[in-house]
Amino acid sequence: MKPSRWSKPVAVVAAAIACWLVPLLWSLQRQRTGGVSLRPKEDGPAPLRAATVRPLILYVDAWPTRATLDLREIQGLTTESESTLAPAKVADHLVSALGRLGITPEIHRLDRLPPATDVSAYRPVVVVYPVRHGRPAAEVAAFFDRRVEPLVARQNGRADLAVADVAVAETPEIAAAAQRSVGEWSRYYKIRYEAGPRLDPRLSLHRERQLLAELAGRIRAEAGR
Amino acid sequence: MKPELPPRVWLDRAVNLGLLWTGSLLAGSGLALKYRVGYTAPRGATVWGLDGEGWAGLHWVLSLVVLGLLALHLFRHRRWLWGVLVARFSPGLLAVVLICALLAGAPVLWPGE
Repeated sequence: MKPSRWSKPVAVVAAAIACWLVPLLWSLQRQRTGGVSLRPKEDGPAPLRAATVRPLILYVDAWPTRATLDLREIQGLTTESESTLAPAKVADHLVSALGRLGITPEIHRLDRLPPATDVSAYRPVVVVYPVRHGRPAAEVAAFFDRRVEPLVARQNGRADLAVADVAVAETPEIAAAAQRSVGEWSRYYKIRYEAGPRLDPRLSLHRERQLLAELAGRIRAEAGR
Repeated sequence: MKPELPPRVWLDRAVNLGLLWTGSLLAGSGLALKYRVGYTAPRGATVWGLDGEGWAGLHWVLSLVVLGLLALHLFRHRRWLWGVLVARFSPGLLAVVLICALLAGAPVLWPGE
């Protein structure tokens, strides 16, 4: 049978459409399923019901200090508030990553956490902070002093609290040092602590999102414990 | 009646049309990332059902498709390209080619600060 005179033009157009339509459909499918890597494996545990999960995300709205003082930055004259590494933005990205897993966390600026909030009602508590002068931002220490310590006291030293963190620093080494501090504070109060991602300006956006997606996966597991 | 075109012509047309459309969506996805679902967008902003991460993933995949089609396009025209380079060789043409190679390779190979 002789092919129609339109068969080749139609094939050309179909191939050209496939070049962009296939990636577009793949992206939509990935968006709906929350990403291939985050889907539970066939032989893994059953997916958690979102209603059973309630993480609390607390972020410190400040910048990490740097090796060199940038006067324009501390005067708020630069456009760094748009940067991906602003802790508030990192917290937003983590909320999105959890949303992809069907989890809706509660999010607060750490220094504006309502006094009536019972942090032990959440699992886990994720603290997103910048490293300032080689230590976690002051608000994190204040959180342990003013919120965790009374809780431990009320519960006779057996606070059922799980803390994870995301440290934003100029280098991974500085972030790791800050996380060691948070680890020591957690050990002191005998609460569970898991060091989360260390974010620094050299990380690509893709890698940052990947690390936060991995943390979201671990939060889901922690929440179901 | 027009003579029938050989299959390689249709292949070239498919590659060129694919490049044109895919490149256009690549540009559109970049604009969406910058102005609609980027860091300054409100939380949960989506376009066509895709959020910022979805558009970033699409942008990345489309860039790979465009690079692949571009490589195929250059491969299909390799004889013409080589002919131009040999037949019309001049220091100016050599400079053009070297600058192309530099612009393509330098950002990848340059040592980071």
